[in-house]
Amino acid sequence: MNAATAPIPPVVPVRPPASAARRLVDAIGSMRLAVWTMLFFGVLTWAGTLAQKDLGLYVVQRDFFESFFVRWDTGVEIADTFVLKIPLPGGYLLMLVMFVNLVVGGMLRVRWSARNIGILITHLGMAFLLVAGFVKMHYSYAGHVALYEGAKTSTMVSFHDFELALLRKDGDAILERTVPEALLAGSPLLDDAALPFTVRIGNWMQNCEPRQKGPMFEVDVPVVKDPSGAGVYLSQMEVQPERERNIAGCYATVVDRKTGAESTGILWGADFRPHDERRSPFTFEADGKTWGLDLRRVTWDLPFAVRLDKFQKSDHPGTMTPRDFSSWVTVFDDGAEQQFHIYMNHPLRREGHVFFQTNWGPQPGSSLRGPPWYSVFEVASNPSDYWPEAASYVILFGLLLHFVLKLFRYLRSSNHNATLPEMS
Amino acid sequence: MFVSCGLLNAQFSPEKRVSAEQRPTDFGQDHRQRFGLRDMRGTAAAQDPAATTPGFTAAMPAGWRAATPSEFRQLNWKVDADPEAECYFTAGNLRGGMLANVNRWFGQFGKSPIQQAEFDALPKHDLMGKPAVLVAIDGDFRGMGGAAKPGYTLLGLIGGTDDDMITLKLVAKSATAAAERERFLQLGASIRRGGTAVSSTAAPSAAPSSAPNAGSATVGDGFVADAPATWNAQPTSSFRQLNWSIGTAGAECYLTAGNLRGGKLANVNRWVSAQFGQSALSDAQFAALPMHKLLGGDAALVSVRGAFRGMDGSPKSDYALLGLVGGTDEDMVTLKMVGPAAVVEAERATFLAVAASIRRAGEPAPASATKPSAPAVAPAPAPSSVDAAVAPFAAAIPSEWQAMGDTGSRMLRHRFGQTGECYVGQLGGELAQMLGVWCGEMSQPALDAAAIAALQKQPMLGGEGVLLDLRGEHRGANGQPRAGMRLLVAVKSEGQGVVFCKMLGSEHEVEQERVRFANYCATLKRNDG
Repeated sequence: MNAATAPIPPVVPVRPPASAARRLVDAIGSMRLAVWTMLFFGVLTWAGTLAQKDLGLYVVQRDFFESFFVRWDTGVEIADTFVLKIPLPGGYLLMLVMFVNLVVGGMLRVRWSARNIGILITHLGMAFLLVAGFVKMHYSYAGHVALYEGAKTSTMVSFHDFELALLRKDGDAILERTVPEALLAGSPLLDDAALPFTVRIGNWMQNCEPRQKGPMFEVDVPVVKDPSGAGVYLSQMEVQPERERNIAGCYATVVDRKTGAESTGILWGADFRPHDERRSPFTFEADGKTWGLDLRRVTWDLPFAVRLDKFQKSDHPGTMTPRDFSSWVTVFDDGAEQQFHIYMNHPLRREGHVFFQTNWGPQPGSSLRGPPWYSVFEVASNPSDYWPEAASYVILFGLLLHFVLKLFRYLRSSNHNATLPEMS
Repeated sequence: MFVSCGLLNAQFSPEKRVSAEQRPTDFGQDHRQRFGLRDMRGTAAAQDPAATTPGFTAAMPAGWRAATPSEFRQLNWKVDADPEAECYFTAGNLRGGMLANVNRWFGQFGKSPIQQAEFDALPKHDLMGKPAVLVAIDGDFRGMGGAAKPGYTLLGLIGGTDDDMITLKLVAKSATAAAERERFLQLGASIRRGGTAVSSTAAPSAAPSSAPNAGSATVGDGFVADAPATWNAQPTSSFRQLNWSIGTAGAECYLTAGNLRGGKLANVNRWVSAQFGQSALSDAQFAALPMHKLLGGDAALVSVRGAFRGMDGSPKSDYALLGLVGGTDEDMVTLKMVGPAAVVEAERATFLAVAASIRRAGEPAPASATKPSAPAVAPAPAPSSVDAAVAPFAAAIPSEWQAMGDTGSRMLRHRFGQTGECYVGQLGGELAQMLGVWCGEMSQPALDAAAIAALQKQPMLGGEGVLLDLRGEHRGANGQPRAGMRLLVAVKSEGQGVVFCKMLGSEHEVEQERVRFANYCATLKRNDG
């Protein structure tokens, strides 16, 4: 074969090299990134589930799924020298990456045409689902309300979190100002020029209880003396994985701006609802007024009041395990009264708040006995309450549309092939 | 981190105005009131009854025995003739008003509520020295949400005011309730806040004279003692599970269990040196102290006389102290009497007799404990017959456990893990009764017959016992709750009592030692066997 008869190679168009920005956009919107993200989600869920046994639900949710990064302590000792800790991307970071990947890959890079309309809608629904999670995490709050029959309340309290409340009585009202728990652990000085005193928080303890000081032992925290001479101190307790079982506490030192007089009190966040709603703050005098400092579960005021009219529980035969339980409540709102029946999967929804029937008490084994029983509702305020449901419908519609269009295209192509003339 | 770095500034939120109804607040309370702590000496409570929940005393009827008190049962009893009968006194922890509470009782029998006029027409009887409404309800009793018990009667006395109620309640089979009715009413009349119960109305002749604990007993926080009428029961406190004042000259006597630190010698030397200004005892001197009975075990008897300087700091001349120190360095129990030397010397024999009578609530009185009476005729201290009645045991001890040294009531006593303890004991009483006591320690309801029958079997003492396995919050003798605990008790009925192996520790530690515990129980035998 000579050169004159050699076949001429086909001409391949040469693409100009992609710019760095284009390559970045391609990478961000790539299927590869989507697969890696899903893979890490799987690993994170597996690791979080294992860690929950030791750390509890609250800590795992916070450290694994609401974080950017997590160091997963596997508990596996390597050669008796160190414990294997594996760094992983946190759930927050993964969801952020997934959101960007969805938007870039599934909505910007994809060709906007009628044939892709189903895919676009599906990706839009998925992005909406992630936005709903973001809004819930940052703009929702949840707590509980526990009521005996006949009792009425218009407040709900957090399961987990505490706050410092500065209280002052003003006629029939209470004036209050609060500081969230997250700002209390670093021994902050609360120095507000509008107040006639400063408050220094110290010895923050996640789980503790007040005890009386005896003569035969010393403690490494301040001992606060009552007028009777009795000494009281805060005793650190082992922190429980179930965060709702921990009762935080701290010391508060109040310094009067005018006189310089100091008084120290113990704050302890125990909550005895529904048996006793009254709070007993550390009380002091300043500027001729009586003030109180209280460490309490974060407390929210509802825009309406709820009264438990009736609680009903039936047990499995011969046991104290409830078969079902439900509550009848009356809602008081602007002078109007309305009755509701709350039971499993049938919550009360009102003014942005959802009341779920979640528990009851006194539980067997506690020092109290029922009847009378009390009913416990989990109350959530979530602006994106309905968004996941709406997103699911959007995703469903997008997928259906895509499959139907695909089916039509397939059928049309089959008919077209069947009508072509046979080539001879 | 951000706060300490100054990146986040902790400030109060803007002021918010809420109604006092939304924020029910009690300003002005001191720390003990805010946290429900009781005064160590109990004196502040006596001066200000509203400050704390003071103790109560009552003249326990013959044929009854004290049971462990709880938050809602400041006084609690069982009736020997009917193991299912229960009677208890509740003060200050009730809400909803008297009529609502009585109607709750009617509800427990499936009866319709009564109206105020009917309530007002109910008969009155004495409760704590004041008229109280007597309620009697017959029918099918449904307590704790469990199965209805037919043929039951509730006798209830309810007094005080809607805001500060007191109740005495007996729930028993109707026949038992009828037989105990008079004793129940006399019991109500005898209840007193703090001081000595009015005993003249108690112990009707119908009761068998040999019944345990017959006559007046002082019931404290988890402990019971037979004390003479001249000793006045005082409110208990964190450091005084039993507490008496003696005479009018300032003498006092009290039991402290579980709340002491520093070891036995250090505590004795606190009395001798810090309070009486005398030379501290050496180890050898302490070891040579005479021994007497306290809570079923041996305790060293300390006797000091001189100038006394107590917690208030003021010196008192010619005082004396009698102290019994028992248990171990880690789990001490002391009974201490301090007062003018003349009083203390006169009460010496009574002191030793009271010490021998002290038992944990729910336990039968020691057979050897001679009931103390007036000081002049106080009997000699009880002989150590308890030891004679307790045969020593042997068992295969896991090498991982550390011996702690036996006390009179805790044999083959060992420690495991950080806080776990395991030992063998024996007590008088029925199996169901003892199981109920242990359930009570774990804040759980007593087991019924079906639940007892369903308990897992555990080989021990050459036969078969049952194994109780409970998890939750443990409340020991000192009343302090400990969460996340697990209690294993292998128990076997023997004669008039039970022999048991008891393991208590954190859930994690007990789980690790479970198999060893089973082997420890299976190899348990009497040394003579």
